Amino acid sequence: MLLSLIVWLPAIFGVIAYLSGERRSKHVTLLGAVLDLVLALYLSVSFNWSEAYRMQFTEVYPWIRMFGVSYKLSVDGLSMTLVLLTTILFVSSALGSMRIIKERNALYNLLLMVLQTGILGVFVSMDLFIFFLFWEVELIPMYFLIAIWGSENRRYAAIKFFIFTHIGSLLMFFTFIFIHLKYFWTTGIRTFDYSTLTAAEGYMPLTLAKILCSLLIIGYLIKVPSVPLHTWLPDAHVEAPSPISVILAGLLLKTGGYGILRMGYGLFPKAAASISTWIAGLGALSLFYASLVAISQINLKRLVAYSSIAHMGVFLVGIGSHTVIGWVGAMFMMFSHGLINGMLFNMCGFYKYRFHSYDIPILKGFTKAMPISSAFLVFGGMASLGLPGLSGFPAEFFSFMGAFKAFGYVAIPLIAGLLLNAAYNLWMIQRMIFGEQRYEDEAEDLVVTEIVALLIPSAFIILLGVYPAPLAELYRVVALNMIG
Amino acid sequence: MLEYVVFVVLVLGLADLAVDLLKNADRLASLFSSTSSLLLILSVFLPDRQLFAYSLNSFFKLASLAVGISLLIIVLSGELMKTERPGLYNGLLILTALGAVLASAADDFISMLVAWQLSTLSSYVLVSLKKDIFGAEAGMKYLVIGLASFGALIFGIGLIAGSTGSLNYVSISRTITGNPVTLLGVVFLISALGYKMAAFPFFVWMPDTYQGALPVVGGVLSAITKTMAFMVAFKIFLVALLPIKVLWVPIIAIISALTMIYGNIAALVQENARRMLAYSSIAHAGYILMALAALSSSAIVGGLSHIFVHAVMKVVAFATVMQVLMITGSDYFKDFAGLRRRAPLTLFSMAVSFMTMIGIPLTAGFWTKYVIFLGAVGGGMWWLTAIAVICSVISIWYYIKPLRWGFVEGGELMTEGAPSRAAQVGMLLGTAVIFLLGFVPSPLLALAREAMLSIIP
Repeated sequence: MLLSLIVWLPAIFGVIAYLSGERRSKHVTLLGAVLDLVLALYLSVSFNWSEAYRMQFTEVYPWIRMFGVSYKLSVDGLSMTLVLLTTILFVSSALGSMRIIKERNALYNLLLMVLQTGILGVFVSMDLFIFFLFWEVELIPMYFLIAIWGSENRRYAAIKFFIFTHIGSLLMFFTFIFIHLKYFWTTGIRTFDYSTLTAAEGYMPLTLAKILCSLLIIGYLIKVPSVPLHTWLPDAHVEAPSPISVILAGLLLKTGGYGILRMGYGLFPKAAASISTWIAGLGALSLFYASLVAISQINLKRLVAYSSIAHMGVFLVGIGSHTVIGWVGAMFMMFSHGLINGMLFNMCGFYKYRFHSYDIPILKGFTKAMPISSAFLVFGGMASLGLPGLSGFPAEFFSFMGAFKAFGYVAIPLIAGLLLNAAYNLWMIQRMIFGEQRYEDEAEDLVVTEIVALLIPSAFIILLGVYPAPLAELYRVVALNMIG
Repeated sequence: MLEYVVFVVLVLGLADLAVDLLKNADRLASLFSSTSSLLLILSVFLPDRQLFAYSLNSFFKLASLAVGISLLIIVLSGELMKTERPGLYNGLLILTALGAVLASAADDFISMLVAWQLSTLSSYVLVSLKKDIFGAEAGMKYLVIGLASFGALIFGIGLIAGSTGSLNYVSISRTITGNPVTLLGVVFLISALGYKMAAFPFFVWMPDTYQGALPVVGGVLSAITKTMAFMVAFKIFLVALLPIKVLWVPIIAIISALTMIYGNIAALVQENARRMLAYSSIAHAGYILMALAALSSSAIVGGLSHIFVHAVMKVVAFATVMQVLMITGSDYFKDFAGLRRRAPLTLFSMAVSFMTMIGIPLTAGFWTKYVIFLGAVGGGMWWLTAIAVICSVISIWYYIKPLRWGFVEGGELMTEGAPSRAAQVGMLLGTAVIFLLGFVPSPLLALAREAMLSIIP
């Protein structure tokens, strides 16, 4: 029952928030998000870490017997940490929304909480059909959150987001149905159960499995996103309200990454292994391309958006290495990038609220007026460039270890990608923080809710940077089991 | 019991025509029609009966459920109460519905024609209600093309009856053979039924009629008349003409593909809600015909249940459009801006009905489309399924467009007025059906399976 409670609690609170009116809805939402975080912490404490590869807290109820659909929720180590990440970021996002969202609060909070239910559902469902349902459930609130509360060009960005990601989910659904039918034709059993269908690859020739697996992974690569399927992301991020960008970068991209691992490699272990090199190549391409583009940005939010693509490129390199250590790095990257970019996007929102712009030339020069905010920005930038001692470092380190192990000398140029990564972050900090001070008293520093919104992810960033061992060990157990 | 239900509904319909003589009887008139709709819905729970040549079995019950729910929502939407002669119009509405369910129950061509005419003649008058130039155009187009299609229907029946020497579906299926005469008969039948279903290329009357006539007409035609056309088509093709399926399966498959493609592409450029719904209705005719073309049991179950879902979702959509028309005086998408403050429930119901037309998961339309597609693949119609899937993706665009105007765009309405309470009850009833079947589709699919087994044992 614990997983169902965690998944559905936000939606229930969303409805309560909607009914409690414009003014109180924010507080109800925050309460719901915090309660969910507490539940997720309880889940991670009672989770058996040493057997993280095993599915735990399983609940199964048959739903539509006719099609073999059952409501099955379960978590292994990977899912459990992503549930934790989701609840952390939603608390952060709810806090960040407090001042930024000024109109139609009730509806906003309803959609936000439904979105949380959708994302949590993706991470814990172990029935392909339910997985697909939750996957669709996240799209619709996201569309409206961008289209209603976004900035000037929001409609274009929202529809672009919807079309891109919907194509991805159709590719996914098509493969799911195919696997389902293939299993049905071979064994006579109609089922969408994940752990049963992992056998389906054995029932088809490797070429077919490769085609299906590629379609599936392309669907997820749209969401990750990887160059050249990334073009929806900068638009969506810049137009979305910042607390939503937190979710978009921190979690929606992770559902794509999670999909590659859970479904791509889980359902087609052999086929996916054979196309791993391609995934790593796309990852490297993303890393270089997005870092170069990020350097040339003058829009702070666009810069952070491209840094997301670059970091997910590192994630793909880790996955594509198809080694245990690479996977540890990749999973670590999902968790760490969610925290870091979630934090940075929240800050973009705080600046926009004060200066009505995301452009670095307009923002810069507030260090004296806003010391707390400046400290957080420096911290976020350092975390993003992978400073040792913060959570970004082990993520990148393990990913590249995997790449060196798998590809040898070919992987050495990737180091240059890290340099680019450092370059745009440092230059951003330099332009924003140092130099001529243009604001005195008129710029108000962060208020308590905003500081808490940033402190929560920061605490985890430091914790995981200083002491990555437990999480890395957890991921090692999971990866070892999946790669075998 | 069931035969008495039919009689009571008939009496209620005729009584409503008599109510026309009374003044200020609009409440009485709609009481009769809502009672009829409840009777039709409740008939699902009664045991099967035979009434003359009408088999009142599960097949009838499926049609009766779809038509009953549609009728109830139409009556609740209150459009007909505002007309000058509510008794007459409610009476005609009841007779349209009764004819439709009886036509689906008929076991031979003559009984089918009697019920068919009861339904279509009543609907001709309903379509011609609006007294302006557009109403006249709508009524005229529908009447002339409807009469032509009736001619084609009679001619097709004549050719088939003449070559087999029988009018009963089952006895026709025993003797029918594929020859040029029956082929011609089949072609005429398809074109006649295609007019009512609005399949390609017989749909041309439809958008103008929907837009020009009273808004309620779109609901009646797409929920009740189309349900009749589909149910009759399924019965004729699956019972009487099954032995010569090699003749008609290719024709239906091609028509289905063209209907889907044309309906979806033409809907993309529409800026008017009723025209868009007309084209969406055409597109859905394509999906249902696909089930007929695939001929696997799963596809037929899906097709039959999609007929039901199509009726419910179209009638909900038209009920919401009626409310929008009442509030803003326009059903162009751009005039939807600002509705969200005045009529949030209406917009919500519209969104739900559009979502289920797209086939978004957790709504009824998703499951029925899913079963059709799965069944079509099982029946070997890969190419048709591929077209249908692509069309479903395209359709997102034109369903999102009006919702975007309604939900996203700001703006103030210049007019007064809000949706009536009865209409809101009706719309919420429809959305509840859509959601309930979205979470638990099994009862509908079970009923559709029984309906299939009742005609093909």
